[in-house]
Amino acid sequence: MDSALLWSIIGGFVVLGVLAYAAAALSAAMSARESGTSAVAALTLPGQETARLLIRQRSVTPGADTLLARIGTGLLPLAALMSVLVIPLGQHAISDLSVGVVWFNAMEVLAWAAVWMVGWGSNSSWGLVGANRFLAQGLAYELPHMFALITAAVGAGSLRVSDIAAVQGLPGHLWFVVYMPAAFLVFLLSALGFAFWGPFDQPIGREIAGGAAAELSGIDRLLLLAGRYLLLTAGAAMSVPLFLGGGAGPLLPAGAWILLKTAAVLAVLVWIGHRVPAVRMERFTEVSWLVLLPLTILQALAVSIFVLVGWM
Amino acid sequence: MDLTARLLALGVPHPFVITAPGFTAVRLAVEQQIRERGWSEALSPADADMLVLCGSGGKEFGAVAGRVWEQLPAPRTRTLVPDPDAASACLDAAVAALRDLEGLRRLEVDRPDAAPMDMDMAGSDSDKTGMDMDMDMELPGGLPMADRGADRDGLKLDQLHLVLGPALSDWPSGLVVRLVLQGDVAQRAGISVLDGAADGPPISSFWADLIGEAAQSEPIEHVELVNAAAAADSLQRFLNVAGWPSAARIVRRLRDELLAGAAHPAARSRAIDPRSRRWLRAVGRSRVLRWSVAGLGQLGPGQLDDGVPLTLVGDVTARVLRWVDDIAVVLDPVSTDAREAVVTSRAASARAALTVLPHLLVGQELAAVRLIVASLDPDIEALQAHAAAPRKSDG
Amino acid sequence: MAQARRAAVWNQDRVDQDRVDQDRVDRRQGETTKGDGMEFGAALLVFGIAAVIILAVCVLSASLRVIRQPRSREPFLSGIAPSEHAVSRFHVRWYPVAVLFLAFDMEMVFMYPWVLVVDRMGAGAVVEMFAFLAVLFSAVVYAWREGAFRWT
Repeated sequence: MDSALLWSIIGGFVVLGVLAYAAAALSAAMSARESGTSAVAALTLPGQETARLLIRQRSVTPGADTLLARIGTGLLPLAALMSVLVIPLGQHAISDLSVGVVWFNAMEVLAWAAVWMVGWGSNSSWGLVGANRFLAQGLAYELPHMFALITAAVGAGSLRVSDIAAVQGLPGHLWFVVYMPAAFLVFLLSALGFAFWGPFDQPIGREIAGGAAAELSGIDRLLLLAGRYLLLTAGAAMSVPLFLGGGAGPLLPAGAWILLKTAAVLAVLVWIGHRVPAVRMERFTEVSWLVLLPLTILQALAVSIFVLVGWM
Repeated sequence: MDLTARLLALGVPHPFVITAPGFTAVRLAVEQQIRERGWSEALSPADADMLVLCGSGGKEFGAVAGRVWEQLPAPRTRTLVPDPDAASACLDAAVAALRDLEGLRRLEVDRPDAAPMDMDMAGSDSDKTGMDMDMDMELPGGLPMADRGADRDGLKLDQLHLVLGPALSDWPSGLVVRLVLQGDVAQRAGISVLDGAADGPPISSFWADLIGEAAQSEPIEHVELVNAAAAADSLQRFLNVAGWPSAARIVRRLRDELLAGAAHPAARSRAIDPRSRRWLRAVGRSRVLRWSVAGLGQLGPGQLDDGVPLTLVGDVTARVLRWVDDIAVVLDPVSTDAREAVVTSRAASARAALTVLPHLLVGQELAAVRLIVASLDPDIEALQAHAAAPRKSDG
Repeated sequence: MAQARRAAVWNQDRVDQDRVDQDRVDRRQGETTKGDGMEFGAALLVFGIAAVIILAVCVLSASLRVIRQPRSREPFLSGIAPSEHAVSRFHVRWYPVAVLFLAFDMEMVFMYPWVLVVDRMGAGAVVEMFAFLAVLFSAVVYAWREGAFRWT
């Protein structure tokens, strides 16, 4: 076995994990500030919460499909970790697949299955409602998300993530966010969607007692919450090669730029979650299909024309 | 060295708070403690390690509390907070209990697994309408599968019976709404109210009493202050339901500051964090919030025979903006337009809200059901206090 | 033009200069599958390590838990006894959206390979693809007029 490969996998996981912890800590610190308590003290809260959940008893309900629910809770962090395969978190991605964009898309879609399995498998009304909310949410964000991915791929004429990043570093080329701002914004929106982070956190909403997570305790809850932060981080990290020039930037090495940009996007995503009230799919579906979908299609069309004309 | 004990000491408790009708003062004290300690409330017993009972209610409340207690996984502890001053000490004791690994393990010895769920239903579940009594004992937990019923689309579909309250976060204490859901849309809604304690003193209404006292003794600003605190309490609950916990945390803190200001008028101006103003303005202007709740729970002035109280007229947005205005009067006295003070008794509002609720909830999605209830925020306490002492002024 | 652009990508690939080798150039021209096999070998390894990490956390939790056995308890229903099992045929009122989604999702299967050939095929590919998308989107507009995107 190639030990360099092994180390790059472990390195990728560690970086993703550290960034995910940072996102959780930032969110906790913002919450503490809102409550008027010490933001600095809150930085350790995600760690304390991990300790709490690690030693808590698991909980099952009679007649629940416990196996299904547990596969679901495990699947969420698994999907996030597997998406790291193609996301450069440092100098290189673990394996720069020729279909990297499709791989990322496939991993992120696993969240649909995971959340639904958790909600259904816990045999709880809240879980059932939450699980189905997530599916409705998926139907709303997924198509604009895919068009956003494809727009970046069209711009580079490749589905390989490193090619997409490299094209943006060529002389005379700008970062893709300049050519395709709508695709970038929609991508961020969908990252909030697939990580069910606020304003798209209704599947585990407060008003349905935690929704899909209502009956989760101990390790099951830990995996679900960790998977959620990992997915959010993976989404933020993926936006960097797709739209923000990958490792391009002055002075610092490419790896440092990738981390800096990822951290910045992640911070913005966390911040949005605190500053925007929840969006209900009953209302958002319409907006998504009639505004975001044509917007991203037009964006893809515009970029295709740019490519044909030779502007990018 | 026991690693489990060490990790146990690291954890920050997640309390699940249930309030008995008549104990709003205790709830406010407990919520303030939770906020100041940097804890976060559990949304369901599965996530909770601490059950906090604000006051003790009647038999029904006792059954609810007992049922929730059985749903907490280990480690778990519970505490009953009898009065506001005891909140801090009670929570301290609960934390100490949560750190005692041996004690926690002893508590779990001989703890029975889920009993057949139909055994102790008689105590707490008197309303069995719509329930399928044809129980198939082969099924796990002795529960039947969901039965079908006619749907508004002309289909025959599975019905789920969902109960909102009494033990639910961001929910008016004492209110119980029984929903028949198909998908997540309510087909039927039954409203009931938790009994007060049969023995013991009659229920007193915290907010109504406070507003009444302020109206009698102090200058008019004092009434506004108390009104603003009551509005902030309703608003924080609504914001949580609307999926904006950040704003809810700010408003909850603001509520505590306003209450402190009402208790000590001299300290009032410096007690309020200036950021609250910005946030309150952001809440009032949030387009996403308005777009997502506009048109829900519309109530016309003539919808009830004896009239809908002015504080309830309009849709969810209108009612929420009224609370924002009530608070803004105190925070920004200059910039707020002079308004006609709308004085409606909390008991009358609550009674009207309970009357219109079943009608408003039918056909709504579950999220909308929660939003409508939160925007009406019926004060069950005031209603029960009013019923107990009809002659007593309740502000 | 397109070929030149591609060449530029390879030559100036600052990010991974060291990995621009002949094998990779060959692969880009779609001639070998050997390299892809290796790539997906890495995928399998990533899956293995991720699964091991997750299982390890589960085992760690099992060895540390206050009570090892899961707690079997009735589902939470606001403190009231549930009257039936929650798993049921849930009436999803957004199922027309799901059907519409499937139509578009199939289209995406065509669009991913289309991305790779768009600058080689020129304007024709763009016109065909977006004409197809326009047809699909007209279905969306029709569904919207039928009220498929609002369900309460």
